[in-house]
Amino acid sequence: MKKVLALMLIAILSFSLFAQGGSENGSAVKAQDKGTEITLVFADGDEGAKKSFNEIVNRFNSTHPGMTVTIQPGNGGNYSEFVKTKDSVGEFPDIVEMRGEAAMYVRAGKLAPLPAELTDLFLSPMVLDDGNIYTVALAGENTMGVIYNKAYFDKLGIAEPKTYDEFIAACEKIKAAGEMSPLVVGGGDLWHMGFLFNKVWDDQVISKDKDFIAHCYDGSKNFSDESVKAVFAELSTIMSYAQKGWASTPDAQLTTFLVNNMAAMMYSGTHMFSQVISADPSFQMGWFPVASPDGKLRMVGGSGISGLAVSTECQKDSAKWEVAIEFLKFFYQPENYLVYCKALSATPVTKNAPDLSDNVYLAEVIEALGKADSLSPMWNSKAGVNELPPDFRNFTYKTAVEVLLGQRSVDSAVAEMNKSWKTASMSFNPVTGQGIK
Amino acid sequence: MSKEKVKHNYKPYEWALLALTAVIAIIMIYPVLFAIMSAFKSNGEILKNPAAPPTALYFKNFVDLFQMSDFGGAIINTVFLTVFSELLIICVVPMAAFAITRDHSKKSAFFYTFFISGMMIPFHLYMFPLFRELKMFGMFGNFVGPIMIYISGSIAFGTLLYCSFLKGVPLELEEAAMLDGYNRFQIFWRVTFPLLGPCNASMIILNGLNIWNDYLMPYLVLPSGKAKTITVEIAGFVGQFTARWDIVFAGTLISMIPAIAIFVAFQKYFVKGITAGATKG
Amino acid sequence: MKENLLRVKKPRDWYYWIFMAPALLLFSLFIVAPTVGSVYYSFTNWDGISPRMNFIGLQNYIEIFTSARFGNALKNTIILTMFVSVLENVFALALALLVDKVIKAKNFFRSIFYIPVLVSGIVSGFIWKVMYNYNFGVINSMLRGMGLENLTQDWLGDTRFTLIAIGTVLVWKGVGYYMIIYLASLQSISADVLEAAMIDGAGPWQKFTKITMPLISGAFTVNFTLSLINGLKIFDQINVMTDGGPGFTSETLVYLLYKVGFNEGRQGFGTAVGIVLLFLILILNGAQQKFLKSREVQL
Repeated sequence: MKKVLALMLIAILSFSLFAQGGSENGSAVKAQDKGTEITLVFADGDEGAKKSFNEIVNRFNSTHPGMTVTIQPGNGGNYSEFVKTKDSVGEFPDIVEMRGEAAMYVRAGKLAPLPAELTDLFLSPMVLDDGNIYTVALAGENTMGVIYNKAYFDKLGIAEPKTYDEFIAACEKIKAAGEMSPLVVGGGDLWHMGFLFNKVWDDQVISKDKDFIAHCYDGSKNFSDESVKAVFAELSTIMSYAQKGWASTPDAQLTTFLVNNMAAMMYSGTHMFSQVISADPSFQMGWFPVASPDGKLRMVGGSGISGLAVSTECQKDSAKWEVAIEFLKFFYQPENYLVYCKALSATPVTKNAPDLSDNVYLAEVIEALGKADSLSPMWNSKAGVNELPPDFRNFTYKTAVEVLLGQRSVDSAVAEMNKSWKTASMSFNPVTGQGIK
Repeated sequence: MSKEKVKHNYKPYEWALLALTAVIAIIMIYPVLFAIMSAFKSNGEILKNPAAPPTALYFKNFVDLFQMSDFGGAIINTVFLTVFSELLIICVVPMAAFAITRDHSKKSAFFYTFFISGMMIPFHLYMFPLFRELKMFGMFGNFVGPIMIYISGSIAFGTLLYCSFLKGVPLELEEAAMLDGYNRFQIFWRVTFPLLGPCNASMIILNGLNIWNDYLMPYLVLPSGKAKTITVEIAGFVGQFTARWDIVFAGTLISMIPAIAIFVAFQKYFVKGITAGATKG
Repeated sequence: MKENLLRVKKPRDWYYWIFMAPALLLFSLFIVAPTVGSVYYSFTNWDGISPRMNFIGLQNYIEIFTSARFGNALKNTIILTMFVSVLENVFALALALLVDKVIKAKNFFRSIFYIPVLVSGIVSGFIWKVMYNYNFGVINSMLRGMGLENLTQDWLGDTRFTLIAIGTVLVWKGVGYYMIIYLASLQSISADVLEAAMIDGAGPWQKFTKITMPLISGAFTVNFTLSLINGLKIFDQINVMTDGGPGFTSETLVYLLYKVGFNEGRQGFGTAVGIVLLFLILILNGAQQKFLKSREVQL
């Protein structure tokens, strides 16, 4: 035993020397020629995002002596959690990608208003109630639509559906053929459920009352509203065409279903184009937006509150602030922004937009966006009086899954939503100002 | 030992028992075998033919693992964290256990319960305030914080283990040493501590494994932008939008090799430690 | 009880405190202090981000006891913990008896049964998640291969099976650990006692219930306590395999506290859930200790 301990001791000593020596050289050498260094954090769970950010940051660092942008990787996992932990220990990054929670960080005083020299580059940046712009979108809100197996549609003689009824008829036909499931849904990831939920929410609720959430805050409406019940009805109709096992299927598996002829369609965002193509370059892909039951075309689009933001900590240090703004301007230059838009098949949000016409799918999406009757961001990406209470989005999605799995009736679901809303709006209510000031 | 003398003249039910044990063993080991097999298959193969063994010697996953993440750095970090924490643990915890077991007072009884009740506090309850505290002490974003957390986290279980073991260590030796004029430190370090070998071994195996496999804490606490630990790097391949199971299993295989090797090499000490602790008390 | 026989001179106090100091300091600083800190947060409406937080008294606790979500998480926690700790102990004891009696390769089998313990919690979740997958998983694919198509299930997505599926992973991963403790205890039973019983005409079942069981009751207490506490604290596998879903089907108290606190911006409420969980663990543990201790044979 003594020998073992002695051996371990030697091992440790050598390791600690090794480890320390390594880290010392590393930081000492770099600190000198880096100039002003700022940190950047983004949701790097997507390979395309990771690659394109790295590419643009490398371009920036090599063309801007005295300025360095350092990417801090998120190591997979849940992004909003990661940002929150960084914040809680005072390591909030200088430039940070914000998701739906941006408004919360603005209220907490963590984000700095962006200068006009930057925001002027954008078509329609999100202006908050105080008149300031805190985030610049990375892309137009991830536009949702159906990516489908064109070869199989042709085989069954289905034309690309133009209306909601045609879409349902197509689902019926594929179901009847019995070779593959009409629709693949990644219910194992809650945020994926948000895609379909947002569509039916737009179809049934927003179409009748754009400020439904605000009216819930002021008490004039609640979730027992017929339009909310209709949300669950439409959702159940569409979900009846989902593949078996949808409730545990992760979003990451959807392309596998599609390219292996296990499902004919998937409802997701444009970021899926590149994933499908890389999974099987020979796959014949088609895309169409799904119209609402009332015949209108409502799409997710425009800029929500998500996007890149700069921290107030960074603003305090004028040298860092300068680098941050310089980097953001650089990022959105057409030749650099192109890298990002290409990798994620993202719709550009800048006035001087990069040329993406060689991406036929994206061209189709942009065309549809032009024709759409209404464009709005996701329901959880709104600010002002229509901002959701912090935990309400996930709660709703989970409740919706319960309804879809037959664990809960629609009536009890809306009752639960009302109850949860009541507690949530006690501590957060942008209409009365509770939890804001 | 006495069974050795008996001739190999087993009854049928004993053979049946052996067969049953073997079947259970196959079921128990299957998920691990599945992971190992999948480490040598492509992501597509894992999904399409999950039960099939790998068709060829396919090492791309391992190459990707080291190319797409700083897995080498993660291995060094994990080894460093585990070894260094354990070394400190087998000094800190036995000292306290020695005080508790050699002084039958009310305060000892209190500390015993106090430490052991630490086992019941869920880490997720206090981790946020803990991280703020680490930040305050400058222990966040380096290796000091995790090591401190590992030592303090081992105290509860360690107290249980070392106290039960120390109760079984005959006091005659210590008394003799005292008569020879040794002071308390000399008694502990020269007489008692050398007897703790099996107990240290079981502490290292049981507790070291938790450190080796820990995920959430190192993920959140270790410095960003650098390699973290093996488990964190593995989990990094299961992103929000893509899951590279092939690479995950390659990493799993690498992370399990030392764990299994150490267990197999040390299991004699390990079982001895537990047995001694449980029966001599 | 030997303590009275082994009388030792009481060490002088300052020695005592020096021996105690490192452990006491670290334990108080990194476990007790943050726990006390979280008690404070549980009375606030802190969102986990803003520097501001308001003291809201018992509001979080009132919400806990009126919200259906907490009730659901409590129910899931109890089901999962009971499932896991009972099965873990039954199987661990069975495996220990098998390994103790098996005629060949004792050490080999013991190692095999212990190997799942060596897998990290999060990785065990990954492995089983892939195996459980409805469309691509090895379990359903084997069932299909055997022509048992109708037995295939969406193990993690079908709300009837989700908790059982998670529980199975935990039992699989935990059973080897408890087996080792039972095994050590079984092997400590002297052959003389068993031989004496045999001479007295005791059959194998009688030997087991009358001698073996009482003698391993100490191990049983340790194991049941450990598996209960570990069961109540399950996190990694749920995090990786189901994220508390589908819906709220596998949301346990630890997961609720984590989700609400970290993901949904209600740190104050989440912490209050954690405090309730802590009390639950203390009460359950106390009750169970009392119950088992009374039945335990003192060696």
